[in-house]
Amino acid sequence: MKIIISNASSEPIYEQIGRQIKAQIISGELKEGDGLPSIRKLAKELHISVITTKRAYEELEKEGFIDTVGGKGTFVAIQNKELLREKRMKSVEDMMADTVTEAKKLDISYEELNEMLSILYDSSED
Amino acid sequence: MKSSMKCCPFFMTAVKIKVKETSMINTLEISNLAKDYGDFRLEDVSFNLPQGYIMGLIGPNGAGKTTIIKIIMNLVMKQQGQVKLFGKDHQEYEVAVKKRIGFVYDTPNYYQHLNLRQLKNVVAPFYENWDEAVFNGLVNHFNLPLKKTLKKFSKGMAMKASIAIAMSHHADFLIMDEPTSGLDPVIRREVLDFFREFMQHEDKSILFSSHITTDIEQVADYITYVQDGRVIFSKTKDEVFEDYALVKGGNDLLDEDTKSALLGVRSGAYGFEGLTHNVKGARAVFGDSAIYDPASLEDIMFFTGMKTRKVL
Amino acid sequence: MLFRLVAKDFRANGLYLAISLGILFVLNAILSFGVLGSESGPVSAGGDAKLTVAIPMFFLVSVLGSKVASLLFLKIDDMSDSNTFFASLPVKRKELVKARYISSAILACVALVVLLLATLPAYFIYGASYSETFSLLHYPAFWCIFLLFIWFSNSISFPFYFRFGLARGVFTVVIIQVLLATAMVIILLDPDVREGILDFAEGALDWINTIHIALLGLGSLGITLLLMLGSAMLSVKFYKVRDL
Repeated sequence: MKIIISNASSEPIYEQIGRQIKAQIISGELKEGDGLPSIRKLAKELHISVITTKRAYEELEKEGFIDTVGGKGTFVAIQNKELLREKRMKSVEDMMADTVTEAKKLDISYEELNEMLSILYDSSED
Repeated sequence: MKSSMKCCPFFMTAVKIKVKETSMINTLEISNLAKDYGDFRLEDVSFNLPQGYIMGLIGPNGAGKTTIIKIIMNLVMKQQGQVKLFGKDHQEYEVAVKKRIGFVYDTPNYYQHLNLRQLKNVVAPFYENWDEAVFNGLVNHFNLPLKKTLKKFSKGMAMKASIAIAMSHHADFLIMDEPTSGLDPVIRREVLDFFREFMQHEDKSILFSSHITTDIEQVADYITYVQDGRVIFSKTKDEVFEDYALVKGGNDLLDEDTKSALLGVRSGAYGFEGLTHNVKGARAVFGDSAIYDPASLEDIMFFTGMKTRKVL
Repeated sequence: MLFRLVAKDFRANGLYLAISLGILFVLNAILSFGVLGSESGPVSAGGDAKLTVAIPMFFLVSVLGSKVASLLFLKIDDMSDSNTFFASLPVKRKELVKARYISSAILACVALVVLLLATLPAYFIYGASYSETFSLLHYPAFWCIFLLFIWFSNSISFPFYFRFGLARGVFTVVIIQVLLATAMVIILLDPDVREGILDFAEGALDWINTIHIALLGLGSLGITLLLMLGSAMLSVKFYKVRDL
């Protein structure tokens, strides 16, 4: 697991943690049942407040990404395959939305964008 | 550190159930504390520290931080209000609660003619829970000499020695007055790292005062800001940094009305800079033409202290 | 806990204790030589003068020295600000006060024993011409009276120390002593009063002489201990609410 916190960012720290853990679960870097560090361990390592890590974990738990088993620790939740796929699709969609916004700013037409996409898609190995 | 293991199992389960019910136990509860020194008054001081967290007590020199800590330790007598440690009155159960406290105070200059081992031999008999192994561990961890007289200790070594002495009886609550002031940055970090390590146990708590804002920004979960004997705020660090912000903009944005939305303003030739404790409210007043920067604790101290400084 | 507190003082301040007692020993040993030396030498006007200085000096050093020694731990704690530290330990303030009384009483004993021992070297060297004056010093009642006097005077002054702290406490006690002495002098200026007091003192002494010596000793000890107890209670009351 890798988490990098920026103090200069306007994004709250708990969101930074949540986003990065989510990304690693979606990408498959963190697998079902993998243990996560305790909130205290994580707070110590990242030099942030326990309250912040706690909040990040609570949000992740609410969204169903992780489970906290009392006394045992926190684990990556057993994901519903469909749900996970949906979530990963959603993240692709989000990125595409960003791409579209950016493209529109540069007056790139739909055709041009489509062309760029197909080239990128073909040249990508996997 | 496994002091809790020694407790009887019935007691343990009872406490555990209670944790789940209330979900939060306060290690320290202070309400309506008052103390009048004539030239200085502590007034209506109230705050709580939940178990498992670090609280930083911050404020300018002479704000009343040391007095608050001394009242908690019953070294100074309060005139009004209540102090509860581990849910018990700090005077009625003085001995019982002090057994669970590790206290480090400002400039430890007692018994300078002894060496650390001798000092340990003086202090250890007072604690039933004294753990020689923990003490030796800390002495090793901090690289402290046992046979050198304390007189020859540097400030950093003296502070670390105090911590080692205060922490070897499995204390649940560490109370420290200015533990990091006067220490060089390397040792400051070492001490702060020790706090973080100590807090790996969720039944522990720390209260420490400091006028070094960055230390508190680095380790505290809760921040209590004291000024002129009063508590300005006591909340989680996250809340503080979400609520407070620096507003910067051109002087044209500033008039009597907009000024009142700020806690303190400093305006120069090219623009102003002010503090708000309500970012949303400030945005409504100043709009998008102003810049909203995160405020550091130092900014908060500087701007909130402004009003009083001007009067003086 | 009380024992631990008393032991703590001796353990922590052993070095200072040894130094202080060492100084007392040397001082008294020199004085003893002074007393014996002047007595055993050829009788001369100079010798007599020396003797008249040496004997009061000897008593002064004994009483003052052991009195100061009995305050040693109080002084050390006051200087190093360790009062705050020890009050932060899981100990009742009452116990802290009691321990102080006990350790001071013990210190006074120890100091007097050391002072007594300090007379021995001179005694052994000049032993052949063991003098009348010097034999006074080895009269046990003297030392007992010294001890009771120190206990008595400490009992009176301690509540002030615990109320105001050592420095301000000593100051207060000295002021009170000066005021009392001045009042005494003013009262004694009246010859009638002087006469009356002298008569009373004579009567009292006569009465005391009729009491058995053992009873007298026990009585004085009892009164001193009672005073000490009352004093300790007062000190506890003061110290319990003092801001440290």
